[in-house]
Amino acid sequence: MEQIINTMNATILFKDIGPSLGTRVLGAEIRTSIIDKINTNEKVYLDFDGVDVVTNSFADECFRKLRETINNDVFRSKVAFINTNDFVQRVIISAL
Amino acid sequence: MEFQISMKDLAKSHSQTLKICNELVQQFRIEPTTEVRIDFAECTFIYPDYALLLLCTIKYIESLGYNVKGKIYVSQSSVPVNYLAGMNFFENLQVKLPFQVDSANGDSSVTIQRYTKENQLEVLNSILKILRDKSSMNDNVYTGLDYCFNEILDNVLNHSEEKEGWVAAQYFEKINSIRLIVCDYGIGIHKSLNIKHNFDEEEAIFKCIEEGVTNGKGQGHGLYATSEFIKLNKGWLSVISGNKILNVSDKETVIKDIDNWQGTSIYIRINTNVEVDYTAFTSKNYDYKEKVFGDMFG
Repeated sequence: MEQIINTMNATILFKDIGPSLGTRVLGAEIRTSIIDKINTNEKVYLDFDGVDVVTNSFADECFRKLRETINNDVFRSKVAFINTNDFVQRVIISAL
Repeated sequence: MEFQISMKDLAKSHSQTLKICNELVQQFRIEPTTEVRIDFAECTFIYPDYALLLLCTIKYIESLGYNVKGKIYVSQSSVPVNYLAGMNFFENLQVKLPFQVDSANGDSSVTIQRYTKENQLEVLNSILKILRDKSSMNDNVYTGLDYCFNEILDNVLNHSEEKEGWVAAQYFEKINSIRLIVCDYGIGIHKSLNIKHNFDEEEAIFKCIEEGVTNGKGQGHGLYATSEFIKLNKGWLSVISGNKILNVSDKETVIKDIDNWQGTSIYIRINTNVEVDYTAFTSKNYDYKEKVFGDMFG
């Protein structure tokens, strides 16, 4: 996971993983990385530039469980989704 | 004792393939030293999904501890033999053909691949890339295929209680169609859903495409979304598990009895030129949740 995290900017570049994000295992790994970043940064940007698809399974494992783990207010104030296409945005919002 | 498999007979239909695969399993249970004879005589065409079902069955028998050995009768000029060689069918059976084959399958086939959680994304992306590059697929069809294929692959590893699955695919340019199959020899849908429910076998396979029906390890969305995508695309979905097959199309959803399949197989056929509105299967509670979380997206 270290390769995809730019610690200076607290940004996770999902395109470095691939254009298609689908597994629960991957979702759980990234959730852990996001929590680490949240603990040491004001804001964590989740950059989906170059990502075509995320699945409900991935979004559920990564983002819904993240929201439940860190509570809703912290999630809303410290996490931002950027460069999501319409499909990715729909899947993530529906999973939350 | 010898067990003969005529590839000509096997290649007739899914039900015929499943019948032969089941007989092969039963044969090894009765006679563990059985020798298998696979004969390609008079076989002029075979779909990759039929071949993968046979391959997966042999892997299953080996997983039970039996040593599967025998002979494969092939002709160098056989089109199906060359095709399956290009799909790595023989390689996956650890059989080396005694001659060079013309394995150029027009670059529109996806070789038979074993996948695990370690290489799942790599396998998925390599398959999607081939299908995207070789077919003139509408963008929304591609997105739907990507989404559903991901969910199907993940389902196998999350629910089968096996550590591997098998996959193969083929694009047919003349009819704008993709056939794709994912197989495992795990616990099957009935046992998997009954970790949480108390369904009979027919209920289980019918319920597995309903939204929210899950064994607790997921959200029960993957096969629901896949079935909705297939209906919108006017394609075909078969869910094969145990003694049942569930067939889904835009016209009907039906369950039939089949010879036993030891795990689960998901077969889809999609039309690359039939547009799909993905909001129909990705937007559960979207309007409400968009009001709550929409400002987090920029």
